[in-house]
Amino acid sequence: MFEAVPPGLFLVLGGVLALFLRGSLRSAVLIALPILGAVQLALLPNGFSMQWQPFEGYLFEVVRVDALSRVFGYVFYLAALISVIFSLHVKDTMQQSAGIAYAGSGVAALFAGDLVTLFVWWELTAVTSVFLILARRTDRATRTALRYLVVQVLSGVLLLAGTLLHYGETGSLAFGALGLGSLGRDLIFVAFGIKAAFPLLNGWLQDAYPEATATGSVWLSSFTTKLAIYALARGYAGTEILIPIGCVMTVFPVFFAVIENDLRRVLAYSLNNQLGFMVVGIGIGTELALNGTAAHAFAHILYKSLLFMAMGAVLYRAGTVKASELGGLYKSMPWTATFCIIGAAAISAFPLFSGFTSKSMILSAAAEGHHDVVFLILLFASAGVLEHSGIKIPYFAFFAHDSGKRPKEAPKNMLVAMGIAAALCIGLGVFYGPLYALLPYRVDYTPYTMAHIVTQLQLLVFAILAFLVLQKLRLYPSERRATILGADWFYRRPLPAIGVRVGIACAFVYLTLVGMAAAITRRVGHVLRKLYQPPGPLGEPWPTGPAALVAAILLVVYLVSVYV
Amino acid sequence: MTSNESSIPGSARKWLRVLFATCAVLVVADFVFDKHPHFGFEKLPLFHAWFGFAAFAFIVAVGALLRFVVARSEDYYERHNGSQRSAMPSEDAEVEPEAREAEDHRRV
Repeated sequence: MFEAVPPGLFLVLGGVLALFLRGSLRSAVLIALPILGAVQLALLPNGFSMQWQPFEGYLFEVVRVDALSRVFGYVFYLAALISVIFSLHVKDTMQQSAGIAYAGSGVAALFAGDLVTLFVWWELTAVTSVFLILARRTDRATRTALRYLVVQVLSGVLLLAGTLLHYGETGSLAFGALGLGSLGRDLIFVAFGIKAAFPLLNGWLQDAYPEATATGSVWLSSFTTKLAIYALARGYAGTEILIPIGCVMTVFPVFFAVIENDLRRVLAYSLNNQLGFMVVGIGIGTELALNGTAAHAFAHILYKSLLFMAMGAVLYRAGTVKASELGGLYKSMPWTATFCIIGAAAISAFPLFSGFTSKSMILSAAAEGHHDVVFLILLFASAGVLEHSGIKIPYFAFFAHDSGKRPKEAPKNMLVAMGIAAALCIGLGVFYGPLYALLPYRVDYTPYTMAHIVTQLQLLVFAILAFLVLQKLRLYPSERRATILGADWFYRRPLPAIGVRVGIACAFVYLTLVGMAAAITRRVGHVLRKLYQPPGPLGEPWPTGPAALVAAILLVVYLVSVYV
Repeated sequence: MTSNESSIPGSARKWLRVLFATCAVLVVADFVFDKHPHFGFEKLPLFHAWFGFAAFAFIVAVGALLRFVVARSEDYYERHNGSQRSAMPSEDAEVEPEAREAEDHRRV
């Protein structure tokens, strides 16, 4: 009976149920849900599959459990549990329900064996997560939430359009290795790329995550982007274009993070940079690289949520996370400061912390593949991680010049959640065996060699030295109140300014062209069919193709018009 | 941080000493252990150390220059959103009431 429920569905239904509960019963249910989910996953063997055939010719694989989805599944449940505990104090019950349903849809998407099922859950993660931004209840957050929703739904629309085109071409809905090379699969790639925050498609991430509630951004940081990483690893492992894409992702955000004043936005840039490491790993595509990507996603979810929790606690207690307004908080929030430093050490990949045992696999994979430039870029980006997440976050929030603020220590439930995450950050750095055993491929890798430890420490410690020298010479940019323009600028300023009319006009021209192209190709196909019978080489796939495209474009036009 | 050495508190000075000692140990370690270099450039003495130092300085320098290009006033997006929307942030539901009051006081 336990097995008859798709993983994740528990949490979605439980989230709805929790809306009607109050008090400690509600807390107990919320905590029990992810634990129950993890137990269920442990009982399902690899290779487990649940299929559904609503009508002849369409076979949906609603559940497919294998090693790759399993490792992401466990960490999703773990993140859900930590996030639930962190938000137990929240009175606004909609937030926790939305959060747990969001986590559930994320898990369910991981175990989707076909592209249509994936699409359904993919969209549900968007719809459920937007409440975590709306719950802030400010004008600014509401506008951000709508922008976020448009981008997320757009990703889903592209996924659906790509799926239909792909089905037209191959007659298969299965979600396995796809690779680029046809319009359908390219569209799916872009859909994944939006949620994975590819360069220039990343605006929504820095736009939305810092505007969510103190607890909301902890939920948000765990699921959407890592679902996209999983999907890329499943569909596009070894796709070489991912290597340069990932490299740009690791490098660009670090410069913006230097001058960003909102510390949760710094974390959003940092998240983007971390995703870059994983995308490079997927692009390299060897067993070591994919293991590294999965391990890094696992470790990353924990330390990134830890950092978002620490900043969430600061926002909750001090009323702001602007670096220019903070400083000296360690005096009254020593536990939060300690946990934040542990998270910072983990993301910076200091030996004995989780980032070290996971990230070094990706770097080693780059080295073994003789990608020398990639290796140097990742090394450079590692120094960048240290700058914004390792030093800037803890230093400006808890130390630096004393702001005079003496907020109370974070509430107990927040401290417990941060404590669990911090323990795991150290635990995975020391006892990495269980994580390595979970990875999709057999692991033959030793992170702790003298060479690794010495070189990594040299990189980090001398980078810290650079920070001190720059501070001493007064060359380090001071925290200043400012808005830093990012990729979200494009759709926040010029797009609405140009006006939706132009957009609609373009869409009409485009639709006409597509229609004409379709008609012409059909005509050509007809001729070809006559020439090369049987069967006509261009005859079959086309009828679904243009139809799907037209539907997708209409949806996009509709979305844009609603949002502007 | 001030440039006056004596104003650095004792605990910070202790951490500074730990850092300098670690640097020294790492410099020595560079010549003691075989670093299993994959690439030619890794064979350079202390490659990771100076690469880390230089990368960090470069990132900060580029970031500082980037400020001239992408930094705008704090209410940049609000100001350009038209007059019907208020530029002042409305009450933040997420911040606990006590902190919110303290913020309001400060703003006045």
